[in-house]
Amino acid sequence: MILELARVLLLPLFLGAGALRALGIAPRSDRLAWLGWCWVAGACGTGLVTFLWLWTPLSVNAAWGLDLLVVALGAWLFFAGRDRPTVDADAPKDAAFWERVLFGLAVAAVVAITVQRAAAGNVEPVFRNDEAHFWTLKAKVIYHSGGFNPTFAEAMSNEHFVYHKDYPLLNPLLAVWTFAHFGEITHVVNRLPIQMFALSLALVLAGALRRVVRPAAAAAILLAVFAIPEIAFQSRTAHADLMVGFGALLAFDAWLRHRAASGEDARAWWRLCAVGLAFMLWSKNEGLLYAVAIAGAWVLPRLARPRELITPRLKWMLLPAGVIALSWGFNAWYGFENDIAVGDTREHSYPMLLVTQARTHVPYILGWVNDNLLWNAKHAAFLPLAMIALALLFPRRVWSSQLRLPCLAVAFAWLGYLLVFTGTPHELEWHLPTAASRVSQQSVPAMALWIALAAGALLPARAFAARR
Amino acid sequence: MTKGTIVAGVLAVFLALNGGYAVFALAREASGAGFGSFRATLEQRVAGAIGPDFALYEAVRASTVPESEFLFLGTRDAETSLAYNNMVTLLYPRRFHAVETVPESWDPESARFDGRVHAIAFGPYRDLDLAAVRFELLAEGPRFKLWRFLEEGR
Repeated sequence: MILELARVLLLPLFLGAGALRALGIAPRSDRLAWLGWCWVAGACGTGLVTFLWLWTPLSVNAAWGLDLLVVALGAWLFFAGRDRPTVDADAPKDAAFWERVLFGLAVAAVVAITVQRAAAGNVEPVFRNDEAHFWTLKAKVIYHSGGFNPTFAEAMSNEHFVYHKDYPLLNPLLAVWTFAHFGEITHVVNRLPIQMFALSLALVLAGALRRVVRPAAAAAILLAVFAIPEIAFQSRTAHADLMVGFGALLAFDAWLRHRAASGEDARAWWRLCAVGLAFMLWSKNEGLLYAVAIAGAWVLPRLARPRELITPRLKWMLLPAGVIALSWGFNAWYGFENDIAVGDTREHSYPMLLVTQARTHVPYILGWVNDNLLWNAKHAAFLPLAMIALALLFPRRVWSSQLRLPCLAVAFAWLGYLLVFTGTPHELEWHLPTAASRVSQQSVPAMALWIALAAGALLPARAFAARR
Repeated sequence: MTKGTIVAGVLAVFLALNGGYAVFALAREASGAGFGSFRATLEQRVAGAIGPDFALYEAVRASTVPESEFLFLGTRDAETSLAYNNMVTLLYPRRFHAVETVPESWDPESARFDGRVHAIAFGPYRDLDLAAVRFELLAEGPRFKLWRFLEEGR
């Protein structure tokens, strides 16, 4: 059991370290966030290896074969990037000793509580909620079928079995990776690779916050995020909502580092940004909504200067685009459709529902959000309100700075959610309470970073700025 | 006093309160949790999760009915139907339909029943005309009956 667990968790980390080295990122680039980036890159690589393996006639239980491929890929990436210069860490901050101690204690507390949450969550098997009925059940069908074959297709054809057949595969692939190492369908340990994302989020968010705001503020924001009940719930379980939000945060942080750097360092961070977007898109369908929102936020200010839309950097966006193509291609191959996109299975398409339901649904949704989310401290620690307030109080400075793109992206994402719920084929009185709170919190980590960035950039420097 | 200074002050108070509350909340969470039950076996974890219907779980798991066939579960307690749905994922590849409620007058062996019932795999409700199906009784417990689904339609 210990050996199997070690292989399940350590080999993706090895692959991730190699992948980061190929991108030009070493542990010294950010000693706090590096391990978190490692897990994301390694988990995505492991998921890809598992995905490709499942298309072959090779046994799904040949875990040593999977291990060999993961190790070989990690080693190859490491050697491929060994001549590439690595990014240096930011210049050390000139912060008071008590602030640095406070921040360190906050990070330690968040890491400890996340580990404890994972242990507490594993007291019970994976048997209820989305982690069971969507993600793990899909993994069980894949594993029991022996891969992507006619048996899998037949099992998935039962409409009463696996819900949301079209959802991206990273989460179930990591569960299949675990099943393969234990030689059977497991009911607890398959949560661990997903729970690792919560721990990684803690490290990456901490690293991101301390770059842009003074340590005391970074500590307060970090603690506030991890005290949110939904973050705690996601940390205990194998849901994918935290993964989506984490991907968005990772991409946002990497983009900020890219803008602050120059030359090869800037290119390295841009590559990491692409990895973050790819991870976000492979986690859950909401990742596509965020990607569209980000793209819209990128394009809108440049409509008057269309030449700025095309830059050589965009070639790295082929990575997240490739994830979209992979997911869509897989769904098209098996005929998996999205329940929202195909609309009401009895009568209307999604666009028709959007038009016919707008008059009743939009006021209801806005009212529900106001009554249940916006002023609810337990929903997101009032972070959305803080972001809205800062954006409205300093609109010109937000618009003319690097705060603009993420602010627009969040606004477009919320608009996207409004459109999704307006055109839902499900009963709104059921759909909103079961989904709105959870999906709207996906953007909380990125919002937290935005607030920290805004505090450091918009307000008097002595108040919040991270001093160098 | 500039707008920036005022907003900075408000934000500082906001973050201090938020951070302070977070410390309190996390400390309360940490003090309430323990690692004792982490040493439980998988069987103990499953039994704890399923509760009083663990016998049903064992009956389905031990059933010699081939995995590809559907089993049919009847219960007179509508509130426990979700628990039965949850068992489906634990028992995969065993599959069964969980019936939300079964009238007292229902006799599956003679395929007579009064009223209609909901049959749930897990997910959307669908109506199942129980007059059109036949079953073989496999196991019976204090809160459940487990049938083997023989055919649908006459």
